[in-house]
Amino acid sequence: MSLRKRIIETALLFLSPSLAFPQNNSNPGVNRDAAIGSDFEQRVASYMKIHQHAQNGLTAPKKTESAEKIPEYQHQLAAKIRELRPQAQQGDVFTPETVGLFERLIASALNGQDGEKIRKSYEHAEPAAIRGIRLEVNQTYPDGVPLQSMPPSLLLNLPALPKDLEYHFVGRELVLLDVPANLIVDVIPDVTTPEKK
Amino acid sequence: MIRRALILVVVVIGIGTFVLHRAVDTTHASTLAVSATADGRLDVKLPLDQKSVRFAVIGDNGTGEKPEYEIADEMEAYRKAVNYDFVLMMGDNIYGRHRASDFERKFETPYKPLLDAGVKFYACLGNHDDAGETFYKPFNMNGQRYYSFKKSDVQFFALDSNYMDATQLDWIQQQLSSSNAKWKIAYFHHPLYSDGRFHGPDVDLRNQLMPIFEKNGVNVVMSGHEHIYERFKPEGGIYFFVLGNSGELRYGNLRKGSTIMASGFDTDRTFMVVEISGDKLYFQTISRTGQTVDSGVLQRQPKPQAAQTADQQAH
Repeated sequence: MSLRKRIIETALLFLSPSLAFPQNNSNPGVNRDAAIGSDFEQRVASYMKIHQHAQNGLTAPKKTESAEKIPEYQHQLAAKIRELRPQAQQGDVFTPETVGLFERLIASALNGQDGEKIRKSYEHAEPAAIRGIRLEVNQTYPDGVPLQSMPPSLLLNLPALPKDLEYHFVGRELVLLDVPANLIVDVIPDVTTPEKK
Repeated sequence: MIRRALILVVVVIGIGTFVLHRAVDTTHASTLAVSATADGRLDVKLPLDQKSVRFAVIGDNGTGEKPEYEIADEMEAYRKAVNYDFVLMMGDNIYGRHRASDFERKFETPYKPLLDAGVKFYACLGNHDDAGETFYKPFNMNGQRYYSFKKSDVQFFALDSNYMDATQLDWIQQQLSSSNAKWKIAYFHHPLYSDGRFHGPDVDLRNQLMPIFEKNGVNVVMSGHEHIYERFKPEGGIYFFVLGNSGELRYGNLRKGSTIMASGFDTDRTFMVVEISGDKLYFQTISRTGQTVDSGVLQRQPKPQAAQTADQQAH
């Protein structure tokens, strides 16, 4: 399947369930997943409003000679986001239904034609370096702990994210990371990872 | 007899102290003299043609430890001889924490002579890097995880192999297809081919990138991540290099008996100097002690049909 075709199909699946699937409900499971995906997209969009609001009044260090200014901006942005979502907890974005969807999508990728390549790519990313680390919502990603790279074929199977958010496996968790703030937005604990058993 | 024994003890203690001092010495000053050929000149394998594009390559350098500084000393010696004016960084630019003092110790101090001479560094992100490095001006990333820049008729594409999502893949396709540069060089942290035993190749990344690279006439791909040096026989018509030992090193980590390796080195740190002149790319890989461990010349490959059509449309 070409990349462009895969992107269009994923977009249709999650952004326009009524367009992707007819109203005769001949595929109730797919319609359910489309609805869950649409809900996930709305929760991500709500979070991004908080992110953008937090950015107001802050100047991102576009190009700085001063290495001190980089973590300074991250800390300020993260602090403002925490103020705007003080009650944030696991499940705000990754609802139980979304967790089920993601488990199905990950399993689908791992059991598909690229599954073995995904597993090898994951091993490439030094998962042992961060085994045992547990993260919490609104926490800063620890400085000095290497981020896992994401197998691209797996990424293509997950819902697309806006520019400033990324998925990363951290040990046994799938994390939604706000990259400019270096902040954990939400976590799926004990998720199936591509690590070979 | 007693006096001889005492002299022997003093000598042994002296030698032991010297060895211990050298073993724990991680201070900034390199005590290795820049090596040279027997007549005192550096071993330079590049032709130094007029109007050529010349640059250096380092990878997995950001340890802040003595071997990184020693490589940097060699780089400065070669800068004076070769006159390269920019450096490609293969990622893992800063290991460990990312405080201002870390940037100073792991980048600003070892490469100060190069920076003071106006050499520009173009970094890509490794798995040990912080996304904030994209804002660090000396890395010339302009706040972008992936970007492109041109030097004469050579276009460079710095990619983020930590997060190769659909948006980046689309960008790569668009950038490569619209480029009419004579040479297209892509670089990113995770290697598509590797005989390193610790990591090996990223076959999923290869699966996604090779069709794009082959279709759009990429000439050279460089990567790091594996803490060795390796050059490959052409794969899909593309020249591949791994250089991930400019600070870090995995001693003896290269697999034996590879059928795809053209040259490999895994017993010390290295950097590479490159000169592109017309249709030829000259390279020289130099170790921490100034030994040339690999060198040669690569002929520019003919462009694939799709890339030729794009060139014609552009003109």
